[in-house]
Amino acid sequence: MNKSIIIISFFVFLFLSCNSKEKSSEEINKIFESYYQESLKLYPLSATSQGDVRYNDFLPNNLSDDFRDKEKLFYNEYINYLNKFDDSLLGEEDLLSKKILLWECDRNLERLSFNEHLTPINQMWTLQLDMGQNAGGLSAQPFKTINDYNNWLKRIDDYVIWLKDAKKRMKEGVESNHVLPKSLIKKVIPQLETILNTDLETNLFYSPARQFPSSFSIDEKAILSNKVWKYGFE
Amino acid sequence: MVLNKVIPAYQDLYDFMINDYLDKGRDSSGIDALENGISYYDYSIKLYTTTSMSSDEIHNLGLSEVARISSEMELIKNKVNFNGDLKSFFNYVRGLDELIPFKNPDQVINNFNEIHKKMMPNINLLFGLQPNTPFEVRRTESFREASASAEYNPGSLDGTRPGIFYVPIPNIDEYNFFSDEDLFLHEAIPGHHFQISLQQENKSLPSFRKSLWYSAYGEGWALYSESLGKELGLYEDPFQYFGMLSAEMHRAIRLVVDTGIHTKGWSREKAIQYSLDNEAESESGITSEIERYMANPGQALSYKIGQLKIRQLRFKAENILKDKFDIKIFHQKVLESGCVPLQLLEEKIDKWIINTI
Repeated sequence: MNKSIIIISFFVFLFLSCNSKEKSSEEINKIFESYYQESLKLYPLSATSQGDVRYNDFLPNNLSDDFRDKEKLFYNEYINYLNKFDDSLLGEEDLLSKKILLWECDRNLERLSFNEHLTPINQMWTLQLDMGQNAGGLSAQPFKTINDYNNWLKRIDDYVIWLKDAKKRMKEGVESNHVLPKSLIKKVIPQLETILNTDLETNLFYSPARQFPSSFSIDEKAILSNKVWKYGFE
Repeated sequence: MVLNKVIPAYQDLYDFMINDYLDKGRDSSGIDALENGISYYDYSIKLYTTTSMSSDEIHNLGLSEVARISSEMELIKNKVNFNGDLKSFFNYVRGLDELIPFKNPDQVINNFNEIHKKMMPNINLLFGLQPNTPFEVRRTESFREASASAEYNPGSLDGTRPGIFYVPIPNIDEYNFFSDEDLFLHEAIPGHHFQISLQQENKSLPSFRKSLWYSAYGEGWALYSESLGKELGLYEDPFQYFGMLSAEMHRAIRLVVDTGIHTKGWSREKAIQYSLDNEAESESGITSEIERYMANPGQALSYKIGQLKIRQLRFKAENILKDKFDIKIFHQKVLESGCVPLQLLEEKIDKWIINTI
């Protein structure tokens, strides 16, 4: 990220030294594009769901202080870049894009001022459910090539770290009375329970190994089945 | 991977939740029970409705919408000469033979295509800007049909895959079509198919706006589309109109119960009871809905607030512009920029009004 910030700073510097309407449009659109590219790296599941395969192999731990600090830095930086542009030099659509992006940055910074990360799991819309869907093999995470399988195995390593941290964060939540209602916890427990199943035929996370593309050789299937079930990457 | 990593991690979490966390869980339902919960809810309203409305405003708006929709439902009930209260009317509609006429799933799909054909002339009167992405109605694939809802699946950017309106028909003998006109307007045309395709087709949008989603805008547009039925020549049958009212009621109830739970001390049980009293859903369905609102404060407000905002902007433009108001241009202004926060949509429409006067 730091590298791209330096590049952007350079653009903004260039832009400030020659502020015409045309130049403003060109420069602010560079900011929009770099925002988009960096946000895909920051939120790779979102890239996956948009069909962008570049970041299918990792999953940053969004519960960690490091990650939350990175997010704050990211949104503050973009607010700074955007505020350097004079509204009167922007066309209607560029100005709308600027305002939308500022709106996004502001809401995300507000979110980070609260303690959502202390209740990382609920029964409805939290990460473990997205990962469950991806594991099923019929969602956004692709399982068409050997590389797809290897990407998924790497992403699972990150996910296991996330699961450990989720427990740690919930414990912190207990300390500060920031917890879920009992009625919702009762809905999460059976969802987690389904994954504890050690039957190869039905375990959700083993699904990718039950539906190999026919193009894989018998040897490839054997190696991958074993990796998915037992080893994975260290 | 599954055996030595995933299962142990889940086991650890599961043990913690059963042995420790469940006991420490709270008995309160609303987010206001947490430290900073009240300001968190204000933030959630802003995030999901993309407006600066207060929770009281939203709660009262919900109550008045529930009352208005109820009285419209009463009118339909009287129109079809039903003797009994609304609750028994809900059950009557759900079981009425004439609303369950189909013998073959193809007939359901054909009926949607007929709805489409019937309204096309009026669509052309109301919409100048229309997407190029092809469109199809399909039955949901059998492997996921049992648990699927009707949904819209966007077409591909290169136009090779059409936008698809998927309809699950798990049991044709029980398929009641009283809300099918409403469903088509919402999921397909001019709802999500128009809205999402036009956003995807707009080549001038920067990348981050092509995939941007605000449910206040997207679901607000779809719900606004449901309310266009009469202008589009639909809802001539009272039961089809009742289908629209039922869907609208569900979204109006959300304004009352979401704000009730998170700012007015409503318990989960009180919210379930309020929903049971005002709509035709099953208790298990309602319970999952209420628990969804508990888990995601404010999200459920977005649908109705979005619809009301778009209607309000239209009303404002009609009133100020009078003869100069062109519905085609209004719809173009709302759709052409893709998803935007409603506050910014309002700025845009205001600017258009001023430039048109």
